[in-house]
Amino acid sequence: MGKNVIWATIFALLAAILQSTLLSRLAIYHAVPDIALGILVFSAYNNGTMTGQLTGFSSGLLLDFLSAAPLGLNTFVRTIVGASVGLMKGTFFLDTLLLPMALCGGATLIKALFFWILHLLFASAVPAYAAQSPILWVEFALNTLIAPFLFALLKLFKPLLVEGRDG
Amino acid sequence: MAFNGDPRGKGRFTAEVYVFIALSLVSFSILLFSTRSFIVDFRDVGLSLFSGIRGSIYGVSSFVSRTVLSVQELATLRREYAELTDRMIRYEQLERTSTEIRRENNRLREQLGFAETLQLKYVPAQITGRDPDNLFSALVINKGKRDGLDNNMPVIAYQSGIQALVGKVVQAGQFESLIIPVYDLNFYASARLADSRYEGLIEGQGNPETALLMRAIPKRARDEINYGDQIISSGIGGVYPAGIIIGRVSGILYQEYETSMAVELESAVDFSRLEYVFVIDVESSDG
Repeated sequence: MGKNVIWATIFALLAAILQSTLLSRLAIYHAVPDIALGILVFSAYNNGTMTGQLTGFSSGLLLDFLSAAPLGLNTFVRTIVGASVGLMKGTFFLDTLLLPMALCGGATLIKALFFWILHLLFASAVPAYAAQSPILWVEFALNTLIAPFLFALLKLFKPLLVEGRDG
Repeated sequence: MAFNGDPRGKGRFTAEVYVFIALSLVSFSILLFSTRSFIVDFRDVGLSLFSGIRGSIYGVSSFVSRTVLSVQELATLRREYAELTDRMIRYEQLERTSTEIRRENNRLREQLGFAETLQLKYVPAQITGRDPDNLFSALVINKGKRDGLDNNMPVIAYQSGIQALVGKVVQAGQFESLIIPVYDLNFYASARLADSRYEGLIEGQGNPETALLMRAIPKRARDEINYGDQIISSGIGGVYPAGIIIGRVSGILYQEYETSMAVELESAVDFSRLEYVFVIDVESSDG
């Protein structure tokens, strides 16, 4: 499990750096796909709650370091996302198209929901996605659309990212 | 979560719940403290740790894009050369006028006993990235503490011949720093209207395409504010030196029932083509 958490965190870190540099140039309405979230979802769904929440915690902490977000924001939200997605491990057959899209789209909405709850608690220190703003919906669409491609890519690294049969 | 009465499965479930609670509490506590600015050094370490990687990726991508776009750049350079030649002719005409103005300004300054204009120390920097989180608008620059940068230093840019406010450093790492731009939701600066001299408070709206807001302007200023009026930093608060251009009035928000009025302003910086900035080291500058 430890190995999977470390590798998923490294993958998420690289994804966050890509989001910050290359992908920021291709942003649509100032929104870029949250690939780090997709990697967390892949790891959590394949490995379960424990790996999911640990990966969410560690990748969220690294993302907080790279961002102007208050330290702990992504750590907290991604721990919950990782645990939630991990709960669904094995519930559905992981196909190549629909389930990755549903998981990544759902994770984006869970993330937005918890940002909103934290915004209520911390006011201006934590911004929330506005439902009428294009940023949320563009990010939702991007995360959903890239999910099949991202999952297909991550499957190539299954020995690093997914636990053995016994989990 | 399948444990079906199996004691080992139940034990694992319990462990997962305990770990989840522990991780949530730790991360929430970090968030709680960081929003009260207790954990600043942690951020420095984290940012510094990964700054090299981000810089390297930026370097490689810049090299590729520069190579690919070099032909287009040549055409742009030719056009800019023609424009600059025209501008130089205009400047020569302006220079004659400005010499007279400068003389008059010197005389006035002498008479009023003003201190000499503050000589500011600038640290040039390049924008190498943006916040990976869509909800935050921080820009990443390739200079950090090693180059003398520190938190809260103002950042400006030269665009279209003017010096305009970009934002301020919020997190200085060793090799790179995060700056929040003027349009960020957490940006505030004390400002004044350049002509009428009325003061107000500038705040961002979260999007570079959305106008900035200048609030808390006295209502009596209504008749003296016009569209296009320039807005500059007032120097109050100590973060931004006085006189830096922030933008121009693009909307006037006046309500009878409110105690003060507000204006919308277009930032003087076009963030879509911002590449280089200058960080002002106010403390090291000669007074």
